[in-house]
Amino acid sequence: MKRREGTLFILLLIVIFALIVVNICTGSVGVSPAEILNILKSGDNESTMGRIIMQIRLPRVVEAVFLGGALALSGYLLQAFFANPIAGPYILGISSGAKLLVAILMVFSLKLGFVMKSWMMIVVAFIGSIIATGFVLVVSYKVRSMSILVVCGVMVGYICSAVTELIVSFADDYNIVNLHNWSLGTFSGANWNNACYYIPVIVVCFLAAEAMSKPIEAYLFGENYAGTIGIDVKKFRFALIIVSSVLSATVTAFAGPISFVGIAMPHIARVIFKSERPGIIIPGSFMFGIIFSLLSDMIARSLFAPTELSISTVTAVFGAPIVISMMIRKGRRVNG
Amino acid sequence: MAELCFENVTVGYAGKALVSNISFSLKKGEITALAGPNGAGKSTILKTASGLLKPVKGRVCIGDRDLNTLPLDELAKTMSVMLTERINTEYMTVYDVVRVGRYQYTDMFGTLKQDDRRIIEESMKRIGVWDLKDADFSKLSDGQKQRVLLARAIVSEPEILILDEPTSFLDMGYKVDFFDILKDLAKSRDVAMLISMHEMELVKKVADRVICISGDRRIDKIGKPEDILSADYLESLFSMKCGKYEEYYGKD
Repeated sequence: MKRREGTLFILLLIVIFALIVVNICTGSVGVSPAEILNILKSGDNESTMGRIIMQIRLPRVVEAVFLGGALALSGYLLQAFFANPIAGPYILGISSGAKLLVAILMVFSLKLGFVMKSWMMIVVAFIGSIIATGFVLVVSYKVRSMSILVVCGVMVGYICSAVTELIVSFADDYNIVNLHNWSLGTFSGANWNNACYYIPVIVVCFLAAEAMSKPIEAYLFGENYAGTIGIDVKKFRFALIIVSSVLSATVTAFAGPISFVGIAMPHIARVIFKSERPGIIIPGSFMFGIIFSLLSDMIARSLFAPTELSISTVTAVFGAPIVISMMIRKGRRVNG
Repeated sequence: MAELCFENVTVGYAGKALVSNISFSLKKGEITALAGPNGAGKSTILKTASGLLKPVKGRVCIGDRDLNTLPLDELAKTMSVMLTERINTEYMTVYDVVRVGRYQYTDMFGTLKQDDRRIIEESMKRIGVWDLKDADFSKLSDGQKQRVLLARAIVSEPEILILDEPTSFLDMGYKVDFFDILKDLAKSRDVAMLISMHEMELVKKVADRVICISGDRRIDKIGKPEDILSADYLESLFSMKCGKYEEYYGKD
């Protein structure tokens, strides 16, 4: 690692820490950092303030940190897989596939009266995202055009969302409000129980991605080239798509579909680090994903407080321009 | 020990034969040209020779072992391949690109050891791209890019080097330079090379041996360029019409 890269990582860590503190401090009730420290030290779970911090804000921040990072990483792996920067779990319809199946599970659990466990949500979301990914893969083998692939992904997203809406509107329960919020993407409703599931899954996926950074780098030079320097391309592609799907499924299971983090953050990481080395860009994307989701969540919570915006509303406003500028740059490079 | 040979091989995609009955072997220190019109199946043969495609029939072997049962990393240490794929990099220096060529020899994180660095430096100097090591790869000229990719192909110190149309979009001057480097490499490092090309003038200048594929996808002649490449023969080789097979799209 070069010095510049080391400095950047430290800077990013500082920004993340600052955002975490700000996120915990702000809200309908303001808390000072000193109070937070006191509550954390004493493990105060009783007082109103203690409950707000320990049961609501802290789990929410932890969720934004892990799920935001996971989304960006999932996007990065998809971009490596398709050898194209315009790829991400949301735009390719993968998040929506996960969303649809989780919505079905939610409605069923409400109807049949069984308690939905966190692990069930992950499993079901994973099945949904694999189905959507499978569809995208079939399309990608039929047509070698990235733009058609993206359009197909967006269409899959629409279909899944429409069906989800349909299911949601037939579910006649007071929980419908939660279901509706979740289906638009939100970090509200975060709790420690869920964290016990998504943290290990995401940590394992992150390590797996890091372990694959060497073949990912070779794969940047094309499938055939990777095949000639000793990579089992089929196995590698399989591993890549599985890790990426698990990540986006985990995020969707707990926070619903969140747009633009997966597609835009790896790009930001490449631009800021001025590097394409997966060893740098994997943690880099993860950290930018954290920053982006913490910022977006802060805005979603506070802009029209006490009303909360869905997180995707905010990520889209900031993420879409990044993607557009990225496409213009890419277009210019190809033509010029 | 490691000689690449084709024993009655039929190449093609998805079980469909494209060129049949190919038999030849490469010799150390020699450049073998694979020549013929576009669409005759040169790239398919090269992909089969490099293990990217399985032969439809017959056997491709390295020494006395079947290429398709050889462990991938072992094969990658014996053979280097330079394909026509254009690569789009954004933030890669020339050194970053060449470094990947040591893939087979580095640890899980791709860390370069002292030996690796020495070999990379030597190879880049030999090909004349060492001065470009910190340059942005995407900003290089086509001629420079091809040389960098050649450097990447030889840093693994292969015994066999396979190149697909390495100079097809270069100016004449660059072509000659490029092949001078190749000739020098073949002799000094005792590398066996298999190079596809369609410019017959170059074949005559460069190759020690030539395998001619005709437009109707047959291996027509194998021999020394000066013996077989008469003007009449070339005309007949290139006059045959190519079929409709699209090598880029495979099946259609």
